[in-house]
Amino acid sequence: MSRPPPESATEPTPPPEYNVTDWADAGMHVAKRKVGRSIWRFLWMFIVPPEGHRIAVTPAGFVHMMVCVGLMSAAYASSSNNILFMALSLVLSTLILSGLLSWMNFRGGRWRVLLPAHFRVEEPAPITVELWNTKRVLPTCCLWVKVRSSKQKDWERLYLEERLDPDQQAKLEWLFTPRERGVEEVQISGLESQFPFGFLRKTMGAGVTRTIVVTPRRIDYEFRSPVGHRGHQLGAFTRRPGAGAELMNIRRYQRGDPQRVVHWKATARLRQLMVRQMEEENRDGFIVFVETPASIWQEAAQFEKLCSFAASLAEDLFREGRLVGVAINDQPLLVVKRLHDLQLFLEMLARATPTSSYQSAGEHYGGNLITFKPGAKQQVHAYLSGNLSGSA
Amino acid sequence: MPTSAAISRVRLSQDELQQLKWLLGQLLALIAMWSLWSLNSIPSGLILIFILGIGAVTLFPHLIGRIPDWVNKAATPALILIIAVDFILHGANFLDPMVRMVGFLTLYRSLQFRKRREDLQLLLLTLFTLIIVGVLLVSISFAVQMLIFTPIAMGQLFLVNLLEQANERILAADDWRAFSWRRFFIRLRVGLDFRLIAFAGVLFAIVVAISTVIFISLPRIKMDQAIPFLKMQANAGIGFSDTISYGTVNELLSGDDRVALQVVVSEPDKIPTRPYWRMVVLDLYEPASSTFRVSTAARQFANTRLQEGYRYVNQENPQRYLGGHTVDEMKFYLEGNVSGYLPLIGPFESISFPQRMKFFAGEEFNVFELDAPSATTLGYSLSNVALGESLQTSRREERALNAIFGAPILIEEYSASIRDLSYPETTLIVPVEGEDLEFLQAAVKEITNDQKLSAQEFSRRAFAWLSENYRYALSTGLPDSERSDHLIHWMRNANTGWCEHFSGAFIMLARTAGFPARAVAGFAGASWNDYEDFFVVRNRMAHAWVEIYDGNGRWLRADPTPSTSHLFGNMDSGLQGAMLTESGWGAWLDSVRMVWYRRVINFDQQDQEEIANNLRDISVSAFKEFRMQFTTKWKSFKSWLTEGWNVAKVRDVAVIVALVCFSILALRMFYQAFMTWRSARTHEGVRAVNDPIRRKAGRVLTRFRPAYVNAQQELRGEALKPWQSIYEDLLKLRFGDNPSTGSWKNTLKAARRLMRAGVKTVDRGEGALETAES
Repeated sequence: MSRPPPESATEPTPPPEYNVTDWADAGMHVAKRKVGRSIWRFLWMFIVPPEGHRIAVTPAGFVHMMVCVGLMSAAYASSSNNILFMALSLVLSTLILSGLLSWMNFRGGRWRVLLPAHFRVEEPAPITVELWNTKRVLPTCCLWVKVRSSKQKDWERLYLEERLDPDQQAKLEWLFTPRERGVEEVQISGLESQFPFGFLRKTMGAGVTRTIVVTPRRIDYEFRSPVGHRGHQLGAFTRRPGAGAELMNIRRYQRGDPQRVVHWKATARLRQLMVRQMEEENRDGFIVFVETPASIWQEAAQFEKLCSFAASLAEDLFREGRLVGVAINDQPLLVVKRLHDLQLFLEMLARATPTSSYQSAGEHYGGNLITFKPGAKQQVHAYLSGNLSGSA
Repeated sequence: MPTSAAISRVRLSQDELQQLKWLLGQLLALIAMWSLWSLNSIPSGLILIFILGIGAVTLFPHLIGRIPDWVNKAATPALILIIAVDFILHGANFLDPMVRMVGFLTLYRSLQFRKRREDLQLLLLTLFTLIIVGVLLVSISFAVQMLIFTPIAMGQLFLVNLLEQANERILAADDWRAFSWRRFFIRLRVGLDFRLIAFAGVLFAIVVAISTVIFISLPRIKMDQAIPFLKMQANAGIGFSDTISYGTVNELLSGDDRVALQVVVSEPDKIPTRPYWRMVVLDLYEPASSTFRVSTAARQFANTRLQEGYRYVNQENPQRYLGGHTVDEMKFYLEGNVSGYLPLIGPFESISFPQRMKFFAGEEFNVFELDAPSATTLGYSLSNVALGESLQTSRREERALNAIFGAPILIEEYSASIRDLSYPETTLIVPVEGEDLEFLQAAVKEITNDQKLSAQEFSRRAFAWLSENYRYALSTGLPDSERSDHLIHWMRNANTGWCEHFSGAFIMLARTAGFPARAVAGFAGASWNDYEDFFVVRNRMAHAWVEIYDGNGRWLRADPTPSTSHLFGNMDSGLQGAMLTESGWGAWLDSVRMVWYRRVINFDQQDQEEIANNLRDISVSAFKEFRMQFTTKWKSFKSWLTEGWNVAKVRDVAVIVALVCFSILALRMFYQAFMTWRSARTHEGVRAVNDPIRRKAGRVLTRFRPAYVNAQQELRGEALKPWQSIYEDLLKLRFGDNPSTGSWKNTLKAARRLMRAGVKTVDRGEGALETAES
């Protein structure tokens, strides 16, 4: 009996992920189960529609129903006139056929939503709805999904304009331009259709709601480092992975790591591939510190400008490799090493509001600390170590 | 992931779909006009102009662009004005202005490029037109029009819905300028897939089937107070009202071949070759106007009153009629505008209608009169119908008739007006005097030789006398006379005439001889339709004959008209076998119309019950049959098993088992070969789903996954590795690129083996692997 391997090595490799499961369907897709149960479920579906299925009568459908009611009334009132009964049965059978065709059209329809990673105010972001007709023989057509953000009143329709042949996919794209910073919800309805005759508007599937964070708008600003400024004096904040000579850490191998960074000794000891992580060379860096006390930021427009200014500045500094950390109010300092950290900061700015529970410290020390204060005429000024360095 | 290329088939563009939609709309308008053609609300000439106009713009749609703008602008107010004026002027008859309004609106909509809303309006107008005309005429053309209308309307609705989503734009005149229907249809032909057409055909069949089921299943409720819904005014045909003037029916007799009556009989063999369809009994002859009429006195005597209902049962005991042949059930389908009097072949027990009707039941004279003649085909059925040459009188009538029997009532001895006569004096009055009376008395003397004759004998001799002196012809050969009394004038001066003259003359002779006599109008004869087994009576079979009282409580039928076999078929040849049988397209169309009236228009609750009973009987008998056969086979099988066994029997059993096994294996192989063949034929994406190995791997994966999850929780390290590896192999088989490569069988086997071994026998650690691998 051999000893069990170390805990770290016993973690099972996650099974390969396939995108099949993330497709939503119209709720009519029946998984492999006993035939009898499926039939009952299918029949029951005609009486009580599955969750998320909604049916609304269109004007044409309303007229159709009125015609049915009129014909039926006339037929019975005139003592079973068979001509009227015949017309009534034809009209009713059209309604039944409509339901049948609609069911066939929806059946096998799957969809999923592809959201972009980031949203920024006034920048269009494509939201894509992928449709897949999984039927083997019949095409699907006349479908649409409705989309809107939680801050919009009206839905927008994304039509499937072309017929979707069996086993084909199509993409419906919505260019969404957020108008405000903050947290929003993107709502996507289930599949909708008036197919085939436009009597009923049916919605299949419960729809999807996704929360998105809209980061502040990018604005133009001025920022200059004061003469003689040396940010590297606070080197404690420059420890981040890089291509330097100092060994910072040993971590597990990840796909894409170069072979030359494999730490063979550690690999042998731990019986799995380990790599060296080196420290980046020390460089000039800044800390962006945003304070949002309500006592200072009384003007909403000015506060928006603060967020936009801080976001744009942080982004530019990161691009130049000169951003080492960010902080908002009394939250702990966030060391920015990767793009993900910057995105985290932008999302914090997206959520930021003037707060009355925090009071500004007044004076700030440190050669690389960038702070912000309101200026005249809705301006926002940036200060580096207490000196005015820029404005927006 | 399915990524195969789209099927390369021509797809119609948005504009082409618009053109198709427009064409379907025009077809709907033409159907509406076709339907309106049958009504008299809009003159036929005007309808023809409408049809030509719609046809012209359908063929050359750019013509619509040439209609000046001011016409388009003025059209709506002009239409409103015309319709309003029409309603004001003809508002009393609401139906005609309404039909005209629908016609004008349909025309208006068909002469313009339509938006979605207008397309739907046109569709609705057409449906409305078809229903109105269908209800009014109850014609089989309604079924034909609906069968054409339904697929076109569904196509139209489909296109309207399709184009609504695609930011529809209306085609303008410029879009149609270079348009050619020939090019369009070529493109349509290329674009249409035969599978699509077949699918549409199947869908249409489904619609027809569903609507048939709904039509049969809709409950038929007979309400006590039915609202008259869209009824046309009708007029009785010539010769079948309560007044018959001389010289009017020869138009019918001279070749009106239209169907007047169709009769379905439960026992057709009992119907004589020349049946008499009795409609109206006319007792009073007025020489001043040369008319036979139903006298007021007769109406008072019969004491008929207006009744309403679905059914009427004769109050008098029908058994008094049922001495001779009787027929259990007869269904009559009387064409519209024939008469308010229903043709009857004899006394009956009850009569029933599909709709609630208003009627006068003249039971005393065995006459049944509707409140008003029907404008459309009317169906009614009789039960227990007596067939006979004579009609039994009621005791009351018998007493009254016997009181006056034997001596004529001469008008010159009668002081009051002829209209003041009571019934049955009206049947005995001889309304002539002077030379005319002398002529009649001389004729009677010649017939009877001053002997006292029975009614039968008098009739026989009178027939002979009439045949000697007059011949049958549809012309009297007399110039138009100023005389009011055409009948006596004819008797004295002519030697040819038709049924009216012969019957009238016989009545005058009989009355002069002291026999009460009255005229009867109806149809005589019928032909047999072999397609649907029913009798057909045509207008040219209209006839008049006589009933003469025999002094013993019976009215005897007497038909003094000489042989008219060229009109009524071979009437002297006995029973139905010799009746004229109709054949050819005309007869087939008659049979189709018969089916329409019999099975569709008159479909009622009774038919529903009959269908339900038939279904029940069929299912019960089928089940009984199945059970009986099963029991028999089972018993024989058991006895076969328990009988003694020998080598031959064992061999037979072995052969059967081998055959069964072979069949199962062959079926399995055939199925696999079919799946492989289908997989090879389909494109990549579908193949990915249909591949038999993939499907098999999918099934195994479904069972393997929960076992694997369980193993993940229970096992660690090396013990889990075979599970992991098999799981990944299964995933590759199920979702990978090419499942047929590699040892897929081994993978499936290993997976099954692992599942059989399971985790339940596995301890944590290395032991698990050993157990699993063992």
